Amino acid sequence: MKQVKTILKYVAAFGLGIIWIFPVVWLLISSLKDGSELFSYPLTFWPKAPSLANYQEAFMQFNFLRYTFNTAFITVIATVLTIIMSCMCGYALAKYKYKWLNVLFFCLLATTMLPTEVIMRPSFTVLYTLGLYDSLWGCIIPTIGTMTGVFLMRQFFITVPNELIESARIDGAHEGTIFTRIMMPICKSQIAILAIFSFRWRWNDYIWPLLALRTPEKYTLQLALRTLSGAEAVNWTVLLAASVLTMIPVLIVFIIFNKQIMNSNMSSGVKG
Amino acid sequence: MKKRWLATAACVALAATSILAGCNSGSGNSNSGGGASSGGSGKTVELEILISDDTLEGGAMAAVVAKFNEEFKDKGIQAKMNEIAYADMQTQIQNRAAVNQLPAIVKLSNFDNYVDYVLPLDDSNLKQEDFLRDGTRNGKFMATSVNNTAVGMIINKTAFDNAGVSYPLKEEDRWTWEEFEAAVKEVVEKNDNVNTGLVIDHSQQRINTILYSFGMQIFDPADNTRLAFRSDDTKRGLEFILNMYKDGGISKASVGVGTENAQDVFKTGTVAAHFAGNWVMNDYAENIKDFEWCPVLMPYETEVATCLGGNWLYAMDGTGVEKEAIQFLEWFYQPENYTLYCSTGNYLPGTLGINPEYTVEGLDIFNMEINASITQPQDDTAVSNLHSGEDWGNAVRDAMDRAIAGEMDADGIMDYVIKEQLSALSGVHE
Repeated sequence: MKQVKTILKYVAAFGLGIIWIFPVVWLLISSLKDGSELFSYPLTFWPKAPSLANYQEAFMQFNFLRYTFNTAFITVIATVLTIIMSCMCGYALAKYKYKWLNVLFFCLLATTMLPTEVIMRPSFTVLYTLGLYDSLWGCIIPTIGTMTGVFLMRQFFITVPNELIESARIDGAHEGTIFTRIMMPICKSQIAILAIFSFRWRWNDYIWPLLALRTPEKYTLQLALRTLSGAEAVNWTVLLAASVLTMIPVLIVFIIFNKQIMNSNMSSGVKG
Repeated sequence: MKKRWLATAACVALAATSILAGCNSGSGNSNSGGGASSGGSGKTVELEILISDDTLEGGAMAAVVAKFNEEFKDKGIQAKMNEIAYADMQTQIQNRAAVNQLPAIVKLSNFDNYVDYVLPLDDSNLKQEDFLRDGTRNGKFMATSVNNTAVGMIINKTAFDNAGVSYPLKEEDRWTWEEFEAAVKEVVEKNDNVNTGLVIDHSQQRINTILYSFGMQIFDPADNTRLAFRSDDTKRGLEFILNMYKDGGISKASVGVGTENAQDVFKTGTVAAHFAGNWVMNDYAENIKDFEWCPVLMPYETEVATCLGGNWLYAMDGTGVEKEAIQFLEWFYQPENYTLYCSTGNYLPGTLGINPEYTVEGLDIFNMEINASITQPQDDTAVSNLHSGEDWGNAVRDAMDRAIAGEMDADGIMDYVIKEQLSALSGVHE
């Protein structure tokens, strides 16, 4: 009976896995088809004559290196700054007891109820006034302060015993040392989670680059991809190939941080 | 200690590089439709051309810009294309207008939304009368019609030939809508792989083209303040379209309401005809290999009609490079350069007296449609232009969607459209 249960669990897990992976596989395989085969009816799974021509055309049409650099620059810097800011803010909100601090926390939390679209126009005005229009920093700075990250870190730091901080203070450690040498190392899993979220948000970000940039040399991959959808037609073949190429860095990051995420999920069950 | 110092130095260096890489080299530079940069003996003015879809449509503007830059390399002007997505054009122009950094030249399908920022061309050697579409607003010549598009019919030639059904390539063979309906039904019956007679783009312009062929008018030609959409002719046209989507009709509702893309469905080879326009030709030439296709003359009921559309090319005001922008436009419309543009992109010219050589066959059919069409669609467009900034949206298409879904009938569509027009347009009556 136990064996049957295990087999059923595996079958269910495989089934769900296939549902998740199928669209990605379909994208990958379709990127190897030519334009005619892509729309042929009935649909075929495997390409009749697999070809890398779409990838070749994508590289010819786009300055992939430039767009990848711009996107990577925004993504990496924004992710690092988001982690630093979220950790510091989350730690302060969790471990310091000042009057009004909780009120401040709830005010900050309330900002998550405002959709980005609502603050887009004033944010654009601030961005321009600060001289950040048409600058990659214009895509980074408005995105650093994420309440999701602050909330994630605060909730973690609340679970850390205060005795740890107090004993460090008795040993003569000042606040900066406690934060950087004791607190940061123990929240590696949370940092990994926030890093992968932030990386995905910024890598796929479309709205801020669209608002903040106007020079082709500064465009990101997502802005470049969008040019393949025209007023009356979509260049599907190149769009598929280019989409596959833009997925690769995110996939690499996921593979690197996958272990930390799994660890954090497992350890969350034994924290007390 | 030394190691830590090195690590700190590396971090500082990385931060400095990042800041330099991320910063805007031209920050604080407003009026940036172009920029002046020193090069050799004098200054070179850079003209920015904001454009969409050029690569998708064959790179016509890129070819012309390369020719311009070659000819003007010693004359102090260089053009630079800034290609963005069509859907983002309006956002980018609005943002750039807000911060006074407009591009020098724009190619787009409309200019009415920001007509106050467009540079009038009255002082240039370009004249409105040389262009096929009216780019005049408030008595000033604002924009040039850089390429025209015309609505037309594309058929699955292989399916028609297999079924032994003829199709009109000459004026005297033109179908009535009833004849067309019978023809595509026969094609579907005689081809196992064809299951739909006609697909129509989810577009108000395409619906209006059919309605014009039934005698519809949007504005009364005798009194342009009177809305003439509600009529027996319009009702017959609307009922004909709605019948297409009913059981036993020649089309399918999923395409009619836009959940399936007509252009993509036609490429599968399961459709006899696509009511589209000349803009699909490049895509079909590149992406259809399994069957032959060709444009044919459109059916008519009481009138032969096509709707003209297309793009405008215009200069923006307040960029600091207005003189050079006009110089570019004047050069662009010289016959040799403009012919290169139309030939490369397989565009229908927006001016008279140009004979482009097309790489895609069949585009002449669209010129035949333009020449044979009644003037009502153009007349209605001219009246709409008088209401610049007053947009009644896609009322016909939106109402048609609801009617296909069974929420209203032809009378309901007319009621809805008139209501929308009355609320959006000033000084009109029914």
